[in-house]
Amino acid sequence: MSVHPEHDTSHWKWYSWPRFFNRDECLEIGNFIDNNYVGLEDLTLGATTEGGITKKKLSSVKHINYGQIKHLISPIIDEAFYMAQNKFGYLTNGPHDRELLNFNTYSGESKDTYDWHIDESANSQEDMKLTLLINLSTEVFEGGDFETWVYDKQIQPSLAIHGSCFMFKSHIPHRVLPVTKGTRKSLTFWITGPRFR
Amino acid sequence: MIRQDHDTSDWKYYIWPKYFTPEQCKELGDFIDSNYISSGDGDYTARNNKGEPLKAISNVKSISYEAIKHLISPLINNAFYIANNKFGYLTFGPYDVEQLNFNTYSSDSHDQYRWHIDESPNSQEDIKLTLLMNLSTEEYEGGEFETYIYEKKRIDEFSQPGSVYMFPSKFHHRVLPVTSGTRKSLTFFITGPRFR
Repeated sequence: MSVHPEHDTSHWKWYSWPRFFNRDECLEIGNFIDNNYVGLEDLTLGATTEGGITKKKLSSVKHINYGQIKHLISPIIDEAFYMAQNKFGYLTNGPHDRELLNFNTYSGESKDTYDWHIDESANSQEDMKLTLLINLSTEVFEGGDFETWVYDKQIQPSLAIHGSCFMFKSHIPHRVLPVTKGTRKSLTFWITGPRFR
Repeated sequence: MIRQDHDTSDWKYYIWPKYFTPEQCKELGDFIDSNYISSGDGDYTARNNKGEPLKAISNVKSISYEAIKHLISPLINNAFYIANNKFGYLTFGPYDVEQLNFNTYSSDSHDQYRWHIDESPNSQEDIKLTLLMNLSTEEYEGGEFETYIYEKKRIDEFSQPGSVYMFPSKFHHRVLPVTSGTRKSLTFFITGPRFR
């Protein structure tokens, strides 16, 4: 039997889950992180250009362990690992309880933004394979479009809707355009695995 | 203990400055001009999401590795060593049937190759590393090679004829328009089992 064309996922670059969480769930997850986060990122240490210009201008980045929050997000993490292994064909690590997720708050008042970057592991024994973004915004915001670059620069409108999730290959350049009004909140989980070879 | 300079896990490129002499560049170019198997690379060329080709090059000639290996095998050997031992990649080949692209960028038509990545149309392999050889034999202007990994970076060392540059094919790269003279480059793709 031949492979059905739509079953050939070898060219996939990303996958999206529109409105995976409802507004109440977004609120619950956001509140839980606000009350339980284990650390705050020093935003002076974020990704920079070789000229030292900061690419990441956010109001706050809160860290939380997967073990603390899995009771709220394990359904999407399960989904993401299924896709990572069965559709992207990747070998993966975890998910381990001690993995850290980033909860990013982009404020319209300070025109928060995250310029073009790629996601890479600092650990030589693993590669970041896929980046999973969860839009946990609970209020209306303007700007803050998420854009990817594969041949063309392309806004990903599916992630703009609260509760939506978007997963893409971590080496793909991506950015968040300035938020111009309201607040945009997103939670990031990185699917890692043994080094690509 | 691993010495700092032996940790190659963050390598993003490898360069062989002026690997070929001007005489060798000429010999290679002449050999390809007399022995190429086809011209133009048709449907396999990189395209944007609208299906427009990103490559505006006057002349692309294909040649098999079999035909040309007597002139480039020491380099290819070295590149596979770096691919396996330094980048840690599993590879296929090099096989005689693999095709190399010999690109001629003419200033008359301001030839260029816009931002693109190198990908295999074959679902059983990934293109892992792209090896570029600058085989230009006359002076040219423009035609700078740029990569985009963390930011846009111009690779000045590769502009010197005879230089060879290798980088992971999944990162964007481009050739700016050639404004005078002719720029010639030969490309070899190092493939392997799919990244997983």
